[in-house]
This record gives sequence, structure tokens and C-alpha cells, in this order.
Amino acid sequence: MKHFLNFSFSQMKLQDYIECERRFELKYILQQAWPALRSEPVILIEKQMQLGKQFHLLAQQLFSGIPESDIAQQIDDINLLEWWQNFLPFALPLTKNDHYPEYKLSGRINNSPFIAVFDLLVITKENQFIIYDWKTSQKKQTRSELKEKIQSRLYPLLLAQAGKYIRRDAPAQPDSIEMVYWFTNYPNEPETFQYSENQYEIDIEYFTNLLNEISHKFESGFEKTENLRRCKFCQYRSYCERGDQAGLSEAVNEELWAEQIENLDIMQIGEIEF
Amino acid sequence: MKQFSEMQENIAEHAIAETIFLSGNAATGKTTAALAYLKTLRATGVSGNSIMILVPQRSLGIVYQDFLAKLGDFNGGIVQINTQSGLAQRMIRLFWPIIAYQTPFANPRLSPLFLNLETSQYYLDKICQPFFEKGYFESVHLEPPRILTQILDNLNKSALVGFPYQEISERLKSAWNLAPGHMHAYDEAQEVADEFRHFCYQHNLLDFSLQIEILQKYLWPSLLCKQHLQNQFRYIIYDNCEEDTASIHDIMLEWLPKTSGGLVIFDEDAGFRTFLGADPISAQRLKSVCNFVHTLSEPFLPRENMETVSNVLNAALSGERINHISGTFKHSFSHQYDDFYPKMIESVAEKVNELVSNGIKPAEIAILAPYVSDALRFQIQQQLSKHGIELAFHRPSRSLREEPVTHVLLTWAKIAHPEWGLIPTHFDLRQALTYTLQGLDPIRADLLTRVVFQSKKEFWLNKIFSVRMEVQERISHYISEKYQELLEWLITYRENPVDLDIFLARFFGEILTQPGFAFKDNFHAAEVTSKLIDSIQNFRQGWLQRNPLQIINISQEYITTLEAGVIAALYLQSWDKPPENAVYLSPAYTFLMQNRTVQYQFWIDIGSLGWWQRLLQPLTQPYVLSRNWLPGQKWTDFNEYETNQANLRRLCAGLIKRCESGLFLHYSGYNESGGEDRGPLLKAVQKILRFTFTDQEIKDV
Ligand code: SF4
Repeated sequence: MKHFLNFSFSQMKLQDYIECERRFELKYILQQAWPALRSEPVILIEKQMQLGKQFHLLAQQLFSGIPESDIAQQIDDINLLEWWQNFLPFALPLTKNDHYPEYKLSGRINNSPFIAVFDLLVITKENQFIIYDWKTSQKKQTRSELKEKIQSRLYPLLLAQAGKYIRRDAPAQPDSIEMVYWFTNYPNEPETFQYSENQYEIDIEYFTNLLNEISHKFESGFEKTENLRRCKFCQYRSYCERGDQAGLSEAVNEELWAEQIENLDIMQIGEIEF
Repeated sequence: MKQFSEMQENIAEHAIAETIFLSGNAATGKTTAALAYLKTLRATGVSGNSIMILVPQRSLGIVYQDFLAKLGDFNGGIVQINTQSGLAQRMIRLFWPIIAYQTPFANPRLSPLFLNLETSQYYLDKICQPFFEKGYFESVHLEPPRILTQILDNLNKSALVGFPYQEISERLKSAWNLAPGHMHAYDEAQEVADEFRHFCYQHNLLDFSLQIEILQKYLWPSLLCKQHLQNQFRYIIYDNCEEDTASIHDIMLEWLPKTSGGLVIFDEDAGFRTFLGADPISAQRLKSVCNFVHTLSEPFLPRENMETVSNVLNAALSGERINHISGTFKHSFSHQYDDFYPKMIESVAEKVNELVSNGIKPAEIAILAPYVSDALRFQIQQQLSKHGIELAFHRPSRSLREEPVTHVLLTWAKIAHPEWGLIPTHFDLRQALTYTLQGLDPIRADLLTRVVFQSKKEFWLNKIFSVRMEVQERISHYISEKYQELLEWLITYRENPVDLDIFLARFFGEILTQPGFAFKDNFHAAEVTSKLIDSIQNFRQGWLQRNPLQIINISQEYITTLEAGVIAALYLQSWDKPPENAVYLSPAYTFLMQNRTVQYQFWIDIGSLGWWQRLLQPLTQPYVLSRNWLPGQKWTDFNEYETNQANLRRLCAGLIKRCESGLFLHYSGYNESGGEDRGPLLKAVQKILRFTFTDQEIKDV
């Protein structure tokens, strides 16, 4: 995989690849800036992203040991307050276990480096490893949509690989891993996916094939998607001559926010230079 | 994978369970020892999540970033590379709820708003306006933006050095040794700094100085925060600690003894960032908390000739006698005089070409000057391109204001928003049309401007179809149609105007990059547009959260402030490694901060005083606002002279240590602006030449 030197894969990058090979190439390999709008209405989307970002910070604060009363004082938005009130009954019991907010993970599949950032990793007394992901979008994805997401396959896989470094005495095994999506707007409907040895084998093969496929694209070329609807929500629309106006999005794309988190965490070095 | 020496491997082994203070000159293999340490930690099974690499500035982290990328995964974790300010921001964001109530902020319940250099300057400018009107700072004869940066600089120094910001003027005044009339300028700067700080407290705004102060005063002393950091990072690599500030050294003094292992790297004869608060004397304190002190003295790669060059130049700069110089000296030290500046650039390019023709990789050549202006860059680029050689260059930051693309975008924004009353000029529109309509040359753009620009009307552009057919033909039908398309887009947009950054993003995607328009496939334009949109968005989002000045139209405010030069829309250029196939041009100090070595260096314009003299800063003083300055002591001409001399010696030594094979010195009778310069570097070189070269070889010098 010589092409991927200096390049770490993440769920976001692979999700982009699956949606459109060309987008993956433009965005991550060529790193081509193209500042057109992705979707409208911008201000509303921005506001929701801002709220999502704030919510993630509040959750991180809670799991970093800051008293909930101190955290709650900062909330000055009614939606955020509602999310927070929904969250506490779910979150507080989790603090009784070993917990690691914003947990960063690296691993290798088929000799290519991968990274992931979990919103929360919990290790129970029974040695269950549970990955939590907070979803703040208005619309809840269906269980089958969630199951198909790259995130649902990649996160448990990387945890299974890296498990021995987290608990040397009792490393994470695929059967002891769970992935839980919790929704701020649907607090009583979390979606849980139990991982397994069998699924681990399937996923390893799946990602290996995907990586091989990507590797070949360097020779055969990265194709534009055939699904033109995707171009409506892609900033490279004009670059690819796939239209001019951005699509109207009914729900804020959760991926935008995920992308921001990944960029923030993976860029690593402090932003402001004096 | 990199090869390490036995010594480096040994250091790495030791640092698994001990803390080591590793000092030595540049190019003795200290950073490579740190890479060996990372490799050893990885082999030992330590997770990347428990390792922090601390560097004084982003560029110094690149070598680690590259190495880590090559390693791929790090035992399931990710190694974090931090700077002091990065650390401060992360910690403030996370722990704000527990420290906010101890701080002097008026509304601790509200989350803080981080200011960057741009937004800090923007607010400070607003604070300054009434003071400017009262005649403040008239005596210093500086442009307002430079006044603003020096006031911010003072606040930053107070935080980085660790003294109360209220004492800035007292400290500066107590060291002032010239005409007493200047002292009131320090008081004026203090008054404005006080007012600005008060304003930040009132509105929860965190400029750089406050971020550092909060880290020092509230976060690090908090047990929760301290434990968070100490539990997470069990291993630390702290590279180039001599380029960092006393305040972060204070933190590391406490932190290092709590780690499982670590490596603190100290570059002797460095401390180049003094003007940014670097304190090598303070960094030496870290020795006392490390388990071992180790010094590397042998150059990692043999470079005997360059050692001689360094010693001879140092002797010449120090006014010492030059004794024997070995016969091979001339192989590594050459000089060239030209009467005129452009000729000097030509000579540089010819020499570079000679090296490249002899098989030297372009990336192994650096051209260094005290400052790199656009004109200099352009001339070097031109000359090198004649030989088919590419040039990569770096300036730490670049202003979007200087980009023609920015000018074009803002012209269209003004036309789309006539209610702002910012009428573009004929020239603005002509330039915008030339840059926007593909295939339109400036002559036809001028014609088009004359027929469609109607600055007296409510909307400033007219339809092309109302223009005579022969004029349309001269412009070309295709371009006329494209113009009309653009106009109609603007008219439709007018029905529902949006904020400036959103306007630009839409305009970029829906018009500028569509077929027939000139941003299509123009990657540079895309890059600049992207940076400009980011800058505006940052402004707008801050304004949405907090609007202390009650600004009604942030878009208009952004444009007027940018055009007034108050904010420079500076963007940090990426600190990636320069491309392998290009010669590298950079200011000398910037090159030092990249921690890289090249085979050949060209120092140009060595007669310039810029090699020796520090920037004139009448409202601040980096040596006085430092922990190493005794309050009450006077800063004399002698101090100034000695400091400049010491800095020049250090700069030359630092550069030569980063040069493996040869140094080329170039100078001209007349400088870039036609003046004659005979700075101390040139004088020292002349001294060497008189000793080493024949009269024939040094003619004209
Ligand atoms: S515009 Fe369409 S084809 Fe082009 S990168 Fe985006 S999704 Fe792919």
C-alpha cells in the first residue's frame, strides 16, 4: 500500500469513498480546497452544528469529572438544555464504570493506518467494552442504516485490535464489544450493536477488500459517483460540472460535525501561534 | 525507517524510565534521539495516547508528525503534539466551568470566546479609536496596525513572562535611557492595554495573553486539570525548550518529575525567538528536575569544513584575530559581489544552477535573506525559472489583503450589496471583470466597464444587451453572454441577500467556477477564496455569539476593517515540508525554526542591516519585558549593540550548523531600494576575505 504513506484512514474518509470515489480523491488525496456551499440553509445548519459541538463538549466535561451543576450553568439555549436533561439520566450511571471521553484510537488494517475518536469508551466491571456515540441530528437514522455505516463496523474492529493496550490483563475481545448510538432527540431509543468474533472476521475482510480497491484506483482512476443526488450535497459540484446550486437539506448532516471533530483531533498541534 | 546511532538508542532506552535533559548544538542528533525514543516507546508497548510531544511552535513539530505518520499506529493510541497555546486552548475549553468563577470575567457562566490575532486586533482597534482621536501615540510615528501589535505584544509578554499586565509601562519606563519625552508613549500604551483587558473581562473574550494567563493562574493550579494532564501523558518529549517561554517552563518543572519517562531537548546557542518570549536561561532550570543530564557534542554527520567556517565567522564577528585557516576552507565558503541588486539575484540563480547541474537536489539548497519581500521572491523565481529550477518559499503568514483574488471577491460583494454604500472604482470593476470572465483581456475589460458601470444609479451595473451591438461584438458575444449571466445572478441574489461569507461561497460555486468563468480550474483562486471565507466566517460566528460593540452589519464591518488595514486577514501558511524538487527561499530566522539541514545555503544581501538590527518597536522591548532583566536597570546603547552582535553571532552559528557542505555569500553595491548598505555581517566577511583570499579574488569588495 505504498500510496497511503503519510495518510491515516478514518470512518469519515471511507464513508466519503463509498459515497463518491472522486470526492475522496479530491478531498483527502489532492486536498483540493473548493469553498462552494455543501447544502442550504447555511445558517440553520451552522446553528445545529454549533449545538452539536456544544453538546459534545458538555458530555466530555461530564465524563472528565466536572460536576454536572457546574456544567449546566453554561447552557443558555433551550434546545441544548433539553438535550442535556435527556442525557443526564442516561449518562450518570455510566460514570460509575471506567470511562474515557473523546478516546483516540489508532490501528492497522491490511498494513494501512487507521484512526478513530470515540465520544466515550466505557469498560464495565464485567469487562464489557462499550463504545458510545452521541448523535444530535433531528432525524434518527434507522437501525439498518446505522448498521451499514462504516463507523459501526470500523470502531469495534479497531477497538478489538487495540484492546490489549487498554486493558493488558483482560484485553477487549470482539464478543465483549458493543457499540451504542444515543440520540439527543430520541433519548429513549438508543441503538445497540453487539460485536462478535464472526463480525470481526467479516469486517476485516471487508476493509481489506476496500483498501485493495482504493489502492487500484490510483492506477485506474477515481470515478465520479453515478448517484447525482450526492452531488447536490457536495462542495465539488461545480468542479465536477455536476450543477451549481447546493441542495436543500431536510436534516443536518451529522457527518459534517464528525468531520470537524476528526480534523480537530487529528491535526493535533495547537492552532494559534503567537 | 530511520537509522539511529548507538548513543541515540541508549538515550532512548534510558528515557523509558527516567527523565533526561539532552543538550547540545544543532545537528548533533538530539531530535533524532527523540525519534529513537518514540520508536523504543512503541516497541515497549506504550500507547500513543500517553505520550505528549511539546514544541514551542508548530513548525518544530513537523519532523515528529512525519515520523509518526510513517510508524502508522502507535499501540492503539495517537501521540499528541502540542504547543503551549494549543494546550491552553484545549484545557480552557474543557475545564472552563470549574475555573470561570475564580477569574475576573464579568460573566463566568458564559463560555469564553477565543480571539485570534485578527479578532484581537479588531477589538483593540475599536478600543484605540477614541485614544487616537485624543492624539495618543502621535509621538511614535507608527501606522495604527503596528501600534496595535505592539500593545498586544506587551500583554502577551506579561502573561508569558509572568508579571502583572498593569506593570508593563513601569517596567519599560524604568529601563528607558533616552529622551524622557518618549516615556509618556509607554503610559499611553498601558492605558489602552488596561482598557482592552477590561473589555475582554466584560465580554468573556480571550486573547492570547488571557489564554496563557488562565492556563498559568487557574488551570494548572487546579487539581482536576493537573491530574487530567498528568494521568493522560505519562511520557513527554519536550523539544527546543530553549525557544519556549518561562511560563511553560514553570509548568514543566512541576510536571516532569511526575512522568514515567521523558526527554527534554535543549539546543545550545539557540533561543532565536526572544522577540516572542523565548527564554533559554529559564529553560536551563529544567535540568534540575530531570534524572540525568546528557550532552551531545559530536556532529551527527561529519562536517569539518563547516565547523571551520563557523569558527572563522564567529571570530570575525567577535572582533578576534583570525589565525590559521585550513586550505579546504574555500571549498565551503564562497562569496560574490555584484554592483546592482538584480545582478546579484542573477548570480545567485547561476550558482544554484551550477549546483543542480552537478547533481545536487534542489531541496538541498536554501536561499536565505533577513526579510523576503514579494519583489525579492518574484525576482528569484524569475531567474531560477530561466534555468528550469522551481522555487518553494515560506513566510510564516501571509495577508489575504495582498491577494488580487481577495480584491476581486470583495468588489463583487460590494456590487451585490449597494446598500452598504461601498462603491467600487472603475479600476476595481475592470480588475474584477478581467479575473472573472474567462478570456477577457484588460483592454476589453476596460471597454466593458465603461459601458456597463453606472456608479450614479441605484444598482451599479447595467445590462449588456442595452449596449450597442458593435460594442458587444468587440467584447465578443460569448463574454457578453457570460457577463449577462453574472448580472442576472446578482440581480436574483439581491432579492434575498445573505452574510458575506455565505454570499462568497454561493457566488464561487454558482458563478465563478461555472463554465466560461475564470475561477474554473483555478486552484490558487479556490485556495484564497477558501481562506477568505474562513476568516469572515470566524468573524461572523464570533459576532453571533458575542456582539459587544453592537455592530449591525458584520459583513460591511469586515470589509471596511480589512480595507483600512486594521486586520490583515493573516493566514498561517501550512508548515509542510517544502517539495523535494524545489530550492527553498525563506527569511533566515524562519529557516532556523524548521529544524532542518541542507547541503548548501546562500545568504543574500549580506550588507543589509536586517541581519543585525532588531525591528524598531517603540512601544515594547523584548529584553526588558523578560525574567532576565533586572527591574530598574537601564537599557543603554551598549546593551543594544551587544545584543545585536550576540544575536548575529548566534544566527550565523545556527544557520551554519544547519548547512552540511557549503556557504555562498552574495552582496551588491546597491540594495533592493537603491541604497548602500555596509552592515556588520558584510564587514566581518570582508575581514575574512582579506585574510584568506588574494586581492584579485576580493576585488570590488
Ligand atoms: S460533485 Fe458529485 S461526482 Fe463530484 S466529487 Fe462530489 S459527489 Fe463526487
